[in-house]
Amino acid sequence: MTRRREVADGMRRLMTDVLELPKDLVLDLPRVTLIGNVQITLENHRGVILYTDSNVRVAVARGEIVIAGEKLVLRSILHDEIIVDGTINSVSYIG
Amino acid sequence: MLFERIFLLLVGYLSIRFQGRRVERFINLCLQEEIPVWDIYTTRNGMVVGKTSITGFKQMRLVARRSGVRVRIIRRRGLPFLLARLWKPTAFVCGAFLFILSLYVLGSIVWFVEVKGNEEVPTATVLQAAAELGLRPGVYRKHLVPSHLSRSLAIKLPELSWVGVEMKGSCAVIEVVEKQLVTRKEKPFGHVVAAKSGVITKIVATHGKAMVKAGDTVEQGQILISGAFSADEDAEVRYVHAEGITEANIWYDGIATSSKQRVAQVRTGRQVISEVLVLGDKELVFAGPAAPPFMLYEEDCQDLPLFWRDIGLAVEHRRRIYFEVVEEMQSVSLEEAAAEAARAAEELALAKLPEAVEPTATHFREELLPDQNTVRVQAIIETVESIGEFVALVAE
Repeated sequence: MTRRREVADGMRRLMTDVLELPKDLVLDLPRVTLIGNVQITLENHRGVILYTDSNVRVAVARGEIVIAGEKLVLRSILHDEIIVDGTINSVSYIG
Repeated sequence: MLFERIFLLLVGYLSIRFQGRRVERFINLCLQEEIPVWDIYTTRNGMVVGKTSITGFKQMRLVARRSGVRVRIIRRRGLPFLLARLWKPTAFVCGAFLFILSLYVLGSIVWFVEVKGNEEVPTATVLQAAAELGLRPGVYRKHLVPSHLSRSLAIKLPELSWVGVEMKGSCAVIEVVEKQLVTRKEKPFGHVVAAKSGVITKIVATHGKAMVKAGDTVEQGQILISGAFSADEDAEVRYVHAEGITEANIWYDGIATSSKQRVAQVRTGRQVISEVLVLGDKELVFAGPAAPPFMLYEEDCQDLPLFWRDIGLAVEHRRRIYFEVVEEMQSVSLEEAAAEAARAAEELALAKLPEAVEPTATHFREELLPDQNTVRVQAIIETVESIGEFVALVAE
């Protein structure tokens, strides 16, 4: 990451902190919502990298989110939102 | 969620199977192209299955090709598919209904218009008049009232005395009776003149003025009934078509002679038969003499047509029989000779008679010629004939 971008990011982070703006919108970050261990909603994604019934990897800005579980189903895939159903064991973020 | 489901069922959707290694790329491409895909899951035997809309499936083809994923339909769900399935037997019922409907509609249309009974009035005129009253091929039968139509047609066509309109299925029959229009022909003016010379026995002028009276001898071409006359000498001349009864005595004669002493030809009993083939106007003698074998002879000719199986041939068989005769002097009484001459003379006179004219009387005038041998008889046949002949006056 370049220095200029770091500075820009730092500025944005500062602004969101100061102005209390939602970080996902300003910083282009994914918003992950878990409903228990049965459903996970990923907003602001960049596409599916892998889909099996035990592993789903979704590209997000600056990394990917790996969902591990059983009987995973891509319930809905929209431009800005992916809903995955199933039994979710873990969600990890790979930067 | 519930509304979404109902909506999906109304619109219809497809369950599809993805075959290929790069299903993720396929999903991302669908996202990019905004093709709806949802409910993607992996079945127990490792197949990846999803759902898409009907339009989405059509759009998928390109995406599938680009990602190398094959898409197969597993199941169709929703109202459009349900309707399509229901429609199949319905189509038959609909067809049957349409058939009956069209039969009924076509059957209630007048397809033909026929005209019967016209002789003078052309069919086209009647048809045109009928068309103007609304009776023409292609109109609905229900819109026509036959009794009303026939009345209107009779009024419209004054040359018809009666019109009947009848519906026979899809054929309308117009039956007409024509008026017997009496056309008075203008008869030309003219005279009745004598076609033959004779003595008038009866003259009655129905039109015009009789110029002769019974007992008058008239010449051929003489005016019998005049078509141009005036009542007085001062009055204007009237012109009419002269008509009337004109009967006259006409005489026909025939003269024949006969002799008391004369030469008669008597057959000797000898005869020679000559067989001839006739080909067109050529004769071919194949048996017997070609020329008459006697100095004096009578000839009898028999034509025997040749037939072969009912087919007349161009060749004819002619049999000529020559009878030898000798001349003999015969003498008969004067009365006999006279009677013979009278018979011949009458025959000659009768031959001059026009057809359909019966003789009313026959007279004979006998005369013994100075040689004291020959009797000359004149037969005079008297007839009564209508001799009037109309001759038109040339317009002056």
